[in-house]
Amino acid sequence: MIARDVAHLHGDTIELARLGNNLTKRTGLTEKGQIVPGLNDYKDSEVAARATAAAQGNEWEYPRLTFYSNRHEVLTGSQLDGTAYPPELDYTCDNWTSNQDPDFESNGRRMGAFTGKPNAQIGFPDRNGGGDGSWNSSHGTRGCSQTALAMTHGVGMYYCFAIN
Amino acid sequence: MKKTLICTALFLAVLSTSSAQDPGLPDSEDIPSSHMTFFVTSEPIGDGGNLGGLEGADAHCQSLAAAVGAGDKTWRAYLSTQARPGRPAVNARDRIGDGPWYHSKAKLLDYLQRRLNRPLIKSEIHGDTLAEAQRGSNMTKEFALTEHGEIVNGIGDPLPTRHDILTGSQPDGQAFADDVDRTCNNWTSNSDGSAQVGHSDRVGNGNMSWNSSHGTTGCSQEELVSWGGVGLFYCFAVD
Repeated sequence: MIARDVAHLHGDTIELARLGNNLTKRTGLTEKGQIVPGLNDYKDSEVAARATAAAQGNEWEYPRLTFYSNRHEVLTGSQLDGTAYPPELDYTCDNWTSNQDPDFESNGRRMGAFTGKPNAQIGFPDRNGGGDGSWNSSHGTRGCSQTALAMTHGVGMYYCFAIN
Repeated sequence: MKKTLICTALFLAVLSTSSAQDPGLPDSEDIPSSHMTFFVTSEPIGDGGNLGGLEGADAHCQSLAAAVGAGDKTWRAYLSTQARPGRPAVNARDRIGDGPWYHSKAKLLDYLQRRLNRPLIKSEIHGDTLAEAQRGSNMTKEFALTEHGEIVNGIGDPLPTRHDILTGSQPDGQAFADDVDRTCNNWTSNSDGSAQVGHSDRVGNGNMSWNSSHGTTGCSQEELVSWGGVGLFYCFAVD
């Protein structure tokens, strides 16, 4: 069980929020029952060496070709309580229609939302990252292209829930 | 190549601004680092819920810290006690100073050579606001290390599971106000009673609480073990 209901999932009351839901690395699985690799997983020295070389350029090629690499940033576009952000800044890659990046040369690959920047809010199914481990709203991305998502350990996955 | 270096430098610069309370960490990889202000006891006292009261528990923290060269700080066990006639309750959160607190690895680097050591913030670990409670804190299995810098075995790790951490506290770090025993009789009982525990790996009992996930059915060492703990507790430096 991930959560009893929507309130448990989001921590609608402060009491619920302090306890947290049951979405953990062991329950936040893919449809095939696989754990989503996160921080410090698979620290095999050979893998680590490849990671160091490839990650210096933050290359999408690395997670694309290395299945057991960190890919724990999950797209949500949402605030902590599961509601949408106000419209001024982009937290949803233009409502999930944009694969555009900002001008990295001029803004230094800043993460998160600012005026005119393509950006997506993400969370962590392994609850480990961003200094808070939020499952649905930890921080933003560097851009909206596939390569930009990979720069901060995402590959563009998202959560699926059955409503019935 | 030059472009890559510039990008990397900017990348690191952006990340470094996110840890405003970074006290300037040493280059040494020694464990524990001189900045260690938080650890999970590597070993229990071993007499169930009888820790010798708060004094005994604090002394255990101090002793373990001293054994790894961190005895110059003042250590407090993260434990609450309940009100008794003539003696008010003690809240765990009020015992541990103000933080922020760093674990025993000052400089755990990931493969991007970034330092993954965002500290524990008092209001974040207790969820003092709704947003803080929803967001969570950096109290993770990888952060909740012993004074030796070792992971505490949790769910999925080799047995015995040691992730039940004694706190006697509510999620906000306060003592329980009801008459039910949550503290093994204020940490003096190794038989009857119950201890409220959290999970150092943030897994178990359908919640993620590090400090208040469930109670035990007794206070003997055997009862603690039966629930997935051995009687470990959190130690914080107040200075």
